[in-house]
Amino acid sequence: MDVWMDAIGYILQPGSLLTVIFGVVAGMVIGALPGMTSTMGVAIFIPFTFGMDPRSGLLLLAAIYCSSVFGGSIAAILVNTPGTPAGAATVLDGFELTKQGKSGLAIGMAAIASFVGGIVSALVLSTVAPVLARWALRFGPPEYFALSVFGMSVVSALVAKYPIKGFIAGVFGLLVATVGMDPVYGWPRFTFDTAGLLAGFALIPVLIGLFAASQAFDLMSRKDKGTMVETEVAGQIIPSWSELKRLSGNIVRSAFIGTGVGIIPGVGGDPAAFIAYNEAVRWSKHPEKFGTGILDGVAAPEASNNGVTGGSLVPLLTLGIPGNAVSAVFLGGLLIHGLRPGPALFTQSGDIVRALFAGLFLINILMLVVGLSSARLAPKLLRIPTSVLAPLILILSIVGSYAINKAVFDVGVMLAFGVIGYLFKVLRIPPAPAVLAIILEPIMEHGWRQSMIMLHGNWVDVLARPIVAVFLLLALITAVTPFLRRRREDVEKSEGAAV
Amino acid sequence: MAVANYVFALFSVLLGSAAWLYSASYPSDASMFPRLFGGLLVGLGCVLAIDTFLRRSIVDQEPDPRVRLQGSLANVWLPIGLTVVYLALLESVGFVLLTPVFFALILWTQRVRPWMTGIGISVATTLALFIVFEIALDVPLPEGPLQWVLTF
Repeated sequence: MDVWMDAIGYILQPGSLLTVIFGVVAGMVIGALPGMTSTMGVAIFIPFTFGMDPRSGLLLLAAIYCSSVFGGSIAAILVNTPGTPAGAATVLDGFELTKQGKSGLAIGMAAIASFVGGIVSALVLSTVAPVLARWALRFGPPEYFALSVFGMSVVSALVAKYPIKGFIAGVFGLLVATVGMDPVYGWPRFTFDTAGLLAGFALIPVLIGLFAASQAFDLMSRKDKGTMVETEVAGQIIPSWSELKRLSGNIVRSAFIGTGVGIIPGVGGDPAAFIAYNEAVRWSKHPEKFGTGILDGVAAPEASNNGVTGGSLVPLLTLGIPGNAVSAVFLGGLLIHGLRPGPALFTQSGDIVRALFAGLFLINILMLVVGLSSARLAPKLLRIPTSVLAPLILILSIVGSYAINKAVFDVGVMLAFGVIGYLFKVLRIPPAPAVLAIILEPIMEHGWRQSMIMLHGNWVDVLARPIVAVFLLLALITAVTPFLRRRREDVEKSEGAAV
Repeated sequence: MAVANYVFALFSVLLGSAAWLYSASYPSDASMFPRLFGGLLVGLGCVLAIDTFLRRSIVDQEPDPRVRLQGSLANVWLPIGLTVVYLALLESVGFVLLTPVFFALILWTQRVRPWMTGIGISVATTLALFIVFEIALDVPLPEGPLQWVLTF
């Protein structure tokens, strides 16, 4: 208990508090700006931690990580553009709530759900991390394959209204993801002798293109050039107690989903948000309301994507395996301070680990306070006419895409996918399935091909594994559901017309 | 919307066929997934076309995308064209010199008037982006002929 008191005492020192507050605010701003990502934010601030105490340095990086994930929801809710990839699922209901004049409630819900997700993941990280890490090690390539297939089945929840077009968008995304070097033997696929395509399409420019640039083009096409967002956050910020009580199950479930997904190395916050969203749809008594602007659709992905933050640190700290891209950069922050992740970290640098664990609780509390208190300030940043905001989003998308690899080629990729995303909007094709597919395809293909190598080409043995069978069965049920639902709706419509 | 669906279905079939044929030259392991996805695109394209034909009365009730595309030449495609030109010139002309011109032109296509307002916004935005990315975040932006000035 004494060692924990030391950790708590450290984080409550004025210097540590200021560091954390700065990290929380900076992270929120970074996350809220389209084109800026949690990965970029953490990477940029690593050099700033050189001269800091390792505990303070890690607290700063953790604060930026956690709050930038929440910050991504602000842009997703107010301007239909996820600030970070993990905010992509929040767009689905968040922006619809803004159109209904409930942006305050959406942001407040996002802050509370993010807080719960962050706290749950911090609890898991600090108390059961070693146990969870041992369980996650059971996941071999077959399980990764099955998990990614299940993740793809989430597409069906996203395309309820246009299932066939949505699935085409999803398969298009799968095909796009095969561009580049084959993941096992390194054979170049669809590179057309272009050096820039050898590594495939960089994910961030694709995301910026499909969500931000396409939104800019969509805004430009509108005849109404008024302000895109409300001039003030409408309505109450804090949901009612009855609403919170109703959503508590959804939030806690999503927090644990995010924490669990975050623990699995290689799978990040983006699929976690969509998986939690899909589960919220499946468990809901009114699944048809998802996508129309309900708090459930904001609470689930936000609790989940912030649940990933602590979860992704489990394999990193206990095994040295990053849970996602951000935790991979976080690994650099550890190494800079001479800290080697692994079981020895807990014994040789226990004070630093405990300060980090305790700090995560503080970070999430401050994120909630800052998020709720500054919610009404957020639109002030966005009180710009559409005729100015759309070009602003475009130029920010250009610079943001360039900043990833300092390559004009990436900006070209962003522009191309921006045009594709705009045409998707015109043709009423949801872009989210393509995005999800691009993220999951490498995991799916790598998992399958490694499984075939491992099991000597015997695919039956892959399917016979219990975890694989469960995930694939869930995937089948989830994928078929919207077609059955649509069939039922068509029958009801024709019966109604007959009456 | 039916016409748009048929066009999209055709695109899906063509893209899937192209992927299937092009990846035939790859080793079997490398071609497996591209061919699978190509085949799925062809299949789903056919399904979409058939589904649109069978549900035509319902599909035709959806908004016609041609309405949205009308009048977008100046608003959308001109900015896209300007962006392509911007990317082609960015490395040689540099961010600081080219971006104010590019941004002012984009604002002009969006009917931001008078001219001076657009120029003022574009210069201020360029400066803000330069300060944030180049100085605060240490992300080097293309310098062009100002290389010696900016690195002094």
